[in-house]
Amino acid sequence: MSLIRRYKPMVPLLLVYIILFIIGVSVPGMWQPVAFIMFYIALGQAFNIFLGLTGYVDFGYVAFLALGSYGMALSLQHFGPELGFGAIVFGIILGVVMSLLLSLAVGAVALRLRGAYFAIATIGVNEGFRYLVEGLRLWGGSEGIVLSGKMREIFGREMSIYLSTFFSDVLVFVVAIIAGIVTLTILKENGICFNGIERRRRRCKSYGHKRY
Amino acid sequence: MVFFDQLAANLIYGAILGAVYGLATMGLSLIFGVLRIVNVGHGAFIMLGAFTAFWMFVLYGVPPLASISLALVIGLALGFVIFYAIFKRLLDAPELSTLLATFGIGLLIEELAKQLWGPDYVGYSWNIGAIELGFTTIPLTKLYAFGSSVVIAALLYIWFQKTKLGAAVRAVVEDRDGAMVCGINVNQIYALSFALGIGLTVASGVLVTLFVPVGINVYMGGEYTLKAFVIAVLGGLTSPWGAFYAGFIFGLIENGSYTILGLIPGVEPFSLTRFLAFMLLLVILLIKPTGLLGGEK
Repeated sequence: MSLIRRYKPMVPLLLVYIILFIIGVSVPGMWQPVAFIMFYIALGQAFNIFLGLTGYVDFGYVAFLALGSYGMALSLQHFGPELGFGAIVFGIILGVVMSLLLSLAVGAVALRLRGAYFAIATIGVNEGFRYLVEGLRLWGGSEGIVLSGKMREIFGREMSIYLSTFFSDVLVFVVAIIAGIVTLTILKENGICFNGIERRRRRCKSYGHKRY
Repeated sequence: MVFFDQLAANLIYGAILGAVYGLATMGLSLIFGVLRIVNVGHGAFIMLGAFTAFWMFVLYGVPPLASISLALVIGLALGFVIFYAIFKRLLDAPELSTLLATFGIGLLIEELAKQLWGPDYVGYSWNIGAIELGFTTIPLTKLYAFGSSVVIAALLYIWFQKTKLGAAVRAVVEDRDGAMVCGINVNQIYALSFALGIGLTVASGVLVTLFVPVGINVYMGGEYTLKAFVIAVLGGLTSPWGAFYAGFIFGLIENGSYTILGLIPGVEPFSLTRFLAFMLLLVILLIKPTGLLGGEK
């Protein structure tokens, strides 16, 4: 019962997702626009966990999105032929781990600063990382990694089209749902200390919570 | 020998370019110094200046340096409009609001410019000769850009130090409440400083066009915003003069390191110079956030 009450605010959100999903699969030509909407919802929710709840402005946020893409691309490129579909699961995990490592690097530098200085530092870390990848020609340098040929080689033509046009979009729905649950859980569990940590630093400190 | 010739040539070029970088950053530092607003949309105003020079040259044959005054006027007018329409209401708002507002204004200007002028690269060729130094050739256009940057920065310095308005701006930076008690209209000073900051930025965009071989487009500003942040932090973030000197240092580091990094096989020196610039930014932020060249504590 308490579980139902706890996740009650998720109901309208899930209803919207279900309606969007039904529109996407039933109205011809609507799947891609719906997938884009879901992608931006997921991205917005993830961004909100940081900017909206903590009050910190992170202008280098999309670097994490890029690392998620690189995780999947590197997994398919290097482990695709051996692992097959397992490379997709490994790619998701690798993307998360790589983003996590960058977030630790960003946090170690930027969370020592506040306000405008924090925002500038986040730009510095993420842009610096981007130029390091380009400069050392890591992971294809400025050209990046082209996956379409590799995916056809691993999964075959039909399956690679299915994976990149339907399966990946369904995963976006899953990510959006996870982002919703995470937001809700953070608000419930950590309450005031996560919500507006930048604005309520002293109160957080008095509760014994560390900012970083 | 070729290496040293190349290094010397790049350092000279770096100093020339650095003066333009410095001028392009002074507006950012002025606005932050007086209003505590970080203009994240800074690059969009540089782009406006670049297009002012381009259209004046293409449509009326006006030399780019003559377009500086027009760009300054456009920037001043735009600055006043933006301040009274938006930032006057956000003066006491949290930092997050002003950061997002400037970010939004930058996007709006870029997208409006795209609707007007399209997304493609455009450019013009203004060739008025060059100076031969033996180991390198410096186009006169670049030297004029250097001279113009120094003159504008010097005029601004004189305006700040020798005029009553300049003194009023300095008083507001020093102590807002004290300035108010002395009869200074703080809101007007804020508006003037904001407009002046935008004016300087748009004017610097005119000079930037003399250094971009691939031409200009509506999204060209992003790169200059990032560089301006590095330079502004290097110069102390609140100090326009610090920013101008830091521009020189940045230009020298950027061009000097390009020559040295070019010796390493298998790397992209152009990108690595930018990587170094951002590492420099982070080191300064961590060890001396007030900037290497002063700035307030």
